Amino acid sequence: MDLKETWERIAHDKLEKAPISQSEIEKAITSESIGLMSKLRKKILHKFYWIIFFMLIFAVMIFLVPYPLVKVLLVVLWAAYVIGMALTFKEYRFMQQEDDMGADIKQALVNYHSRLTKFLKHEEYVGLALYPISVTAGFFLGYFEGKEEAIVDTKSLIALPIVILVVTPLCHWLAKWMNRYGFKKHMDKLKENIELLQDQS
Amino acid sequence: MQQKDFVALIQMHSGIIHKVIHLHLDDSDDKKDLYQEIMYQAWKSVKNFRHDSRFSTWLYRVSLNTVLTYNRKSKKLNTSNGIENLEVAPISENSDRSDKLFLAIKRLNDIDKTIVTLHLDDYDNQEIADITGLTKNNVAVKLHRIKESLTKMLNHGS
Repeated sequence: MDLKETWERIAHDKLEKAPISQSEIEKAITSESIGLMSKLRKKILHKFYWIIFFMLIFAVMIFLVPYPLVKVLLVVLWAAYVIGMALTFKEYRFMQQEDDMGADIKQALVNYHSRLTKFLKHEEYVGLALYPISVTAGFFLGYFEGKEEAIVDTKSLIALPIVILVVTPLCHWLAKWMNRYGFKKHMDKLKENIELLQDQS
Repeated sequence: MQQKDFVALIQMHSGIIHKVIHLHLDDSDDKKDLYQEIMYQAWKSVKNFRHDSRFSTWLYRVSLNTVLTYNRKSKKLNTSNGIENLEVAPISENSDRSDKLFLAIKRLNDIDKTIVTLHLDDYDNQEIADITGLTKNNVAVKLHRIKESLTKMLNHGS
């Protein structure tokens, strides 16, 4: 008996099952994906929602805050978030297009991993430029509140850089920690899958 | 493609999904999850199916890609075994010939296992290359080595 005949016996005895029912298929295609790429895509979508949330907060503050200096800083932050929102959505769309299981999956996984790694790194670096602006806006907002005139004294002007120097690395560390917490586990699995496919082929 | 056409095609080719799942997975929880995931991924990707291959070839590729990118609980068992392990890990002498072949194929890594089972299911080397993402030549070389090892194992019992 050759391999083919033996395989036919295996296929008949062990692998032939009743066809999947119509209701099972309909339930499956309307369910949520449990795949790794889908999980990562959802994480990016959550980031997108958070950006919209903060954009709305900044927009409301721009209208409510009476101090021009703070207003200008908030407008800068709002504009940065608008750009961030557009870039995050672009990333999300890219991930949707790459997530095609009928295509070359190894290349798709490599693209996914490298794009997402770059995206998260860029986000962290852009944050480094935005934290000082946020800190300055917050600092002046707190300072001007309850004062009759929006004038800054020398002591406060010296305190501001110190606050920026302390808060910026802290925020950067927090952003990195949040990205690690949200993405690292899945990114490691993605890398493992890529290595597995590279080893086997 | 309309949903009803898709459902009919999946029903017609559901043997492919059964086969991929039973060959690549051992854990019953994984199997249950993967049935649903493969059908979900197939439905999501079917808009990109351009009819330049058979639907069965495309579905095999979707099923395999879904299995390969799924975080299997027992994945480690399947990652490192190449054809060389067939010779060092004997299969019981008392096993039936088809059991021996089935176990031997299950011990192969995911790509080798796919190549040989597709070949035994009469897919040609170009179709196997399309499904696995390998070149046609690479498929031919790998297939020759795998078949030789499997035949040797079946004839000598280990």
